[in-house]
Amino acid sequence: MNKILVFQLTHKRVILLCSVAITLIFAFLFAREMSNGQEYLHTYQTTLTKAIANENKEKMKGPWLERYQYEQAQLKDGASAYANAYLSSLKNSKNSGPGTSNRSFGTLATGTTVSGPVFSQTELTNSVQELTIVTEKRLIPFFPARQLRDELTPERYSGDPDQYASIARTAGARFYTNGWYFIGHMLRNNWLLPLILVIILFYGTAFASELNQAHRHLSLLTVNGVDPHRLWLSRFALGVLTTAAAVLVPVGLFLAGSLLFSPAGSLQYPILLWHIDGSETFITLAAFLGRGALLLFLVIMLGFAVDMLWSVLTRNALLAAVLTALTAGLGFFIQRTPWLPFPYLNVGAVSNGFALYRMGSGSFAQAVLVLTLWSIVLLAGALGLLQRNRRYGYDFRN
Amino acid sequence: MILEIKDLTFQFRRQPIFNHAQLSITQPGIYAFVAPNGSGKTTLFNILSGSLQHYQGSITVMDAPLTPAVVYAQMAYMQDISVLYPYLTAREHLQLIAQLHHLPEEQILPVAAALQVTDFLDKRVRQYSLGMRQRLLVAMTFLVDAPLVLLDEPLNGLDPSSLKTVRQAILQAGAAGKTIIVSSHNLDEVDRITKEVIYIHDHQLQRTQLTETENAEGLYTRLFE
Repeated sequence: MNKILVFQLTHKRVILLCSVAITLIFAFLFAREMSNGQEYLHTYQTTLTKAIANENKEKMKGPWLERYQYEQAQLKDGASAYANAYLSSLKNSKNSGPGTSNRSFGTLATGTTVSGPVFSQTELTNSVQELTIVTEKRLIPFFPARQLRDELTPERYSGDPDQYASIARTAGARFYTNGWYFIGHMLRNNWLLPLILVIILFYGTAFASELNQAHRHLSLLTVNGVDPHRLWLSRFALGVLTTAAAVLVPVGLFLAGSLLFSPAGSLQYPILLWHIDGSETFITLAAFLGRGALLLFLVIMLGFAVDMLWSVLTRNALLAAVLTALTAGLGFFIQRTPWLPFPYLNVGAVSNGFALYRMGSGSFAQAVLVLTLWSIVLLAGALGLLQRNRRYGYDFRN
Repeated sequence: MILEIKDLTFQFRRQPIFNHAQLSITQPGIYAFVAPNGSGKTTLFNILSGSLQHYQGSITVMDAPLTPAVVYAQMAYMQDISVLYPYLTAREHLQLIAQLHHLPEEQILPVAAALQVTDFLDKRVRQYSLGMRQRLLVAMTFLVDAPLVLLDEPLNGLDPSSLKTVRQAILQAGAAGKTIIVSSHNLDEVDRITKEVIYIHDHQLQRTQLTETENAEGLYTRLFE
């Protein structure tokens, strides 16, 4: 039986193609992130230089000139020095408004003006907390350090709405140019999910194909001593593990490759965690990635269980694939029913708690429980239907 | 007793196929299985191979009640071409059967040669004609080397040369002491391989031995037309 599974696995080149696609997409997006970061830094340095030149031209030797010169020096000293100075600047602006110290950055970096923080007090507080942890634990910071935005920043922003995008691009810019940080960013934005769905849809055709009247391979196997339930269960397990490996291996390769360009970053980096009451605390990047990896694994399991059930019901690979994709699509519309698996398909937002906050109930443990239970129920349903179909001959012609 | 069917009753989608049917085969040999389309030939093969389980009555094969283990050990079943994997080659299909029955790979080539499968052994099934697929299926069945062989329409879609090849393989297996039940609509070919005929009439299984002057077509005309 194992040989059949390996046989089929080697004929599903789509898994290999998806792995290669994940590696290439990661590499491309990472290269773009690095390029954007460099471009931002260059543009920002030019802006600082121009601001210094303007101050000099107007022969103003006031505090702004010193602040710009101070920031320029910190930029040259690197990420950690800049993050330290940026944190001091944020603290200064938080405590007593902008421009109270010459050992502080100007409003270009902090965005804070006399009218208040650039985004809101929440972003300012979160940014200070984040950078305090980063500097105290000597973690690798983002470069250049900027304010920490979250999912509700656009809603909290009380300035000119037309200006938000441009302000977010400057005062809230963040470039994921370290391997671990980039992986966390990908996880948060669910960029892996479409590729996982593609693997499930293509690999899952093996279930329906065996039952199709035109391709009743299962019949060949059962008369030659293969137990169909054991075969399907093994294939289910193999599909889940292969898909997990098809994601993990490219991510590992990407991480190793990223070391050629920058350090991997720190797994202790603080990541915002939402609570049901809307408050926010921090967890480590390692904890966030661990939660995300567990959820991704469970989503893969659920995906195969759904595909298997549709396969038994339709006995048509194309139809089963379409219905599986449509079922996954329901996740976009059913976001607030905690006992259904759909809200938990948003792996990134469940991992950082935002989806649970929006739903107003639930917990990470509940997400794990719901996804696991639904997978077991659907799997049992699929195997039960397979047994019924065989027993009563629904898969046969007379 | 090679095969004994007692009181077999089976309905397919509420349509009666067998009603307290009986059949016994005590001697090895070649048995033709003839009946009009839809009367239950493939259904009987599916029941005997354990693919259909919801029947009433008792079935024994080689004096043992029908179980998946008995099917695996005592039976080889040639199904229709839909069971083949289009993306595998003939060699890979034969290797798959050999692996499932723990047979040495050296047995593959002689069987492939006997059924004239060697020429397309490494081509994918999707490139095969109907006749090539049929010959591969027969080769897969005879590779198993079981005492009871069920062949479901093995002569369909064969050109005269392929017909001869498959006929010789069946006759050779019969001569080697196997029990072979061959369903077919090709009544001329039936006459070439056996005088023993099993047929389905009025939801019953009947067995008859044709005399030297009788032929399968005459029997068929008398029973079904």
